[in-house]
Amino acid sequence: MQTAPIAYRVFRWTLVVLAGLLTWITWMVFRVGTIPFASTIWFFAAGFLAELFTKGLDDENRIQITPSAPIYWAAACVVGPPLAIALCLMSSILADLVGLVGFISMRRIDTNSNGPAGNPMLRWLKRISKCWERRLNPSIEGCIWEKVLGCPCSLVLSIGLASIVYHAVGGRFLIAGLPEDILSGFILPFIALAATAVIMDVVQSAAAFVLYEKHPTAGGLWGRIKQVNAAILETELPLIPSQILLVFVSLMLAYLYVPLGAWAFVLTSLPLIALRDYYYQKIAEQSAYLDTITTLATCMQHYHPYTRGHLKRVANLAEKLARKLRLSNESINYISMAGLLHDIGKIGVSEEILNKTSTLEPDEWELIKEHPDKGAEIISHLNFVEDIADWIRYHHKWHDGRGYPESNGDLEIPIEASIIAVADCFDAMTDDRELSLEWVCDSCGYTPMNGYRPTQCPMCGANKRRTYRVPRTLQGAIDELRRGSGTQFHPAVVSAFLDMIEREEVHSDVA
Amino acid sequence: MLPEVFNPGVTAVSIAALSMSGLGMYVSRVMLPAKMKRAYVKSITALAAAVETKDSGTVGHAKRIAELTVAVAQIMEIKGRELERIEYAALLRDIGKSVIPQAVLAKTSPLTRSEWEVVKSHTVLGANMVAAVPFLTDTADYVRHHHECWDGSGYPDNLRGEQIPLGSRILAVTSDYDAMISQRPYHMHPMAPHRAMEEIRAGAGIKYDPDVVEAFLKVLGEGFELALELARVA
Ligand SMILES: [Fe+2]
Ligand SMILES: [Fe+2]
Repeated sequence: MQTAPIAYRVFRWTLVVLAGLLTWITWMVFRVGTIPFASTIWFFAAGFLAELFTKGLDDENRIQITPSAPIYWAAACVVGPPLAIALCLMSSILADLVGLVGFISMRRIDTNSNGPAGNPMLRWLKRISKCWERRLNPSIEGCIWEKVLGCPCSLVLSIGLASIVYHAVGGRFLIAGLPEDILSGFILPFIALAATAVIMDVVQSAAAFVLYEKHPTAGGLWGRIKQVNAAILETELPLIPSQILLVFVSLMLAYLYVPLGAWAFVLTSLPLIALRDYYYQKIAEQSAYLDTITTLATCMQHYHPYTRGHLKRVANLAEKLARKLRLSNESINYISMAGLLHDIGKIGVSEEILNKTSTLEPDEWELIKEHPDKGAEIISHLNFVEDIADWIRYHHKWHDGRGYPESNGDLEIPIEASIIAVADCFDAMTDDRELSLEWVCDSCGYTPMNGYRPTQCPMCGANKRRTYRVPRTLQGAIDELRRGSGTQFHPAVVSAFLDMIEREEVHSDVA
Repeated sequence: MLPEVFNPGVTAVSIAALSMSGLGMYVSRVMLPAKMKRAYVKSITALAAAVETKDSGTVGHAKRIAELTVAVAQIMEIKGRELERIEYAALLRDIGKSVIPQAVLAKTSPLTRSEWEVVKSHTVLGANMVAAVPFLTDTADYVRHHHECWDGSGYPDNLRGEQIPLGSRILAVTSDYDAMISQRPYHMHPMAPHRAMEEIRAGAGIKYDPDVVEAFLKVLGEGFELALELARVA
């Protein structure tokens, strides 16, 4: 496991210190007279349950909304900053501890029997343990204390600051009763509160992203900031509707809490449950349908001599690469499907053309060139969560813009497509069950090192070739990848892949 | 506590919360699955279309046959999952051809005995593929028997009469009709729709289930033929 960059670790610890400072300041400034125990405990309990719910209910941690946030926002404007900070700190830490207990007992059970069966108790344990597993998440590296302290502390920072803003713009704490002017004394300040909290969250995760190099980028710090900008637009923009809903729900909770007490939690949790259900349903349905298409497509391709085993190996390699490059959970989840499907567009192309070793006729070549688009068409309809169609569409598109399908202007090739391209070519170069035929470009005489048989010459782009039989070597494949890095292949993907070969994480049939 | 519950502000907000959740559940449980199902059918259609390029060179038969088959099944009062099964089977009936060499599929001269055996195997191959897919396992039977005949002269299992699953009996009629009215490598001159209908009518009780033929003629009588023609022109 690689260690996190020093700047990132300093940042995490700075957050911890800042959170401590903020807690102390609010405690000093907003002196708490009599503590409203009942309210504090209700909000604490609700926050705790919501934390369990967020981290636990989805097996893959893919749910994008956090139902605990609106509870903390409401708490901040009902009981005031110091108590809000205290209760959100307690509930998130308690959720972690419960998660740890669940995790440890899961380990016990796992070693005793063969995994959790249909037992509902075990399923619950598994879900709860996710709270803790998230802290162990290898994609956020660093020492465990950093993770355990870091997350509650960034929560404290955003909630604390947001509730101070609430007070500063004229918000009244509702525990003392609804203000006379409900708009300027509660609703508008509340919107300021929620906005502050959301902005704080985004800023913190963006800073973490900048300092923690996710994909190696060119252009130093500025390049990375630009990249973060794009990443924020990509991940946050689609969430805006659900964020607005969260603000709305939280507003209702704060408003209803004083007259209704604990019933307010019940009433306002219903819309959140519905929202969560929507996301869960969306992901579950997409996966189910994509699964069936993938299975069907794999069966259909199974009999083709050129694919025997190839698809599965490409899928495995692509998934490993996606993990290595720390792509999002969604990408890691769907990339192996895309690997299985990447050549499905060839299903209508006759075997004669596919297995042809001599030069292709222009119309045959056109047919081959259509396959990424055709494959993309097949699953483009099921692109609900991730744009998988584009991963397939661009798996023969070069990093420098050559290759096919043709496109005009600047095209942003998804990194997933570049990953599939590298995995596909590497497997073609190292598969000793395939025809071991050497490929020579008829126009420029270029000869790849290995039994690599591109459909288009990597040097001059011509589509002419001669083939003859040769043995294959791993070293030849490596040299070929190295040579294509930056022109045919994405350099970051190639370097990650070569790193994996060095660590012997890639198995190939040739030496 | 009670008087406060009847405070108009609180009542309004509570009702808002409840209706929001109701709406949310409706969207995720009713609208989303319906949308996903449509998307899924489109995906399968695209997959079938990819196979068709190899088989007949022209795309769109699977989709058209599926529409026609669903219409016939609806006339025969088939509903729910059963109707879905039939639709999927109609789309996927020829995917077995994806693994049959094009040299055989597109051959214009008469097939040799062994080549004919290979072509016939597309029913079994297709059924095996479909059976491997969790969602579609129950459509495998329909795919397998879509070339069976009412009098037992079909393939692969020589089933006769009611032994043939109903979905396959419908599929036999609709896919034959589509083959008759469209151009294929082995018959370059497609039939006029009314001639093809006559042909189907003549086959009732011999090749086709008479009940299915009746429903089929009813569907075409209701202007489906016209719609089909329009779709082809467009
Ligand atoms: Fe390809
Ligand atoms: Fe057939």
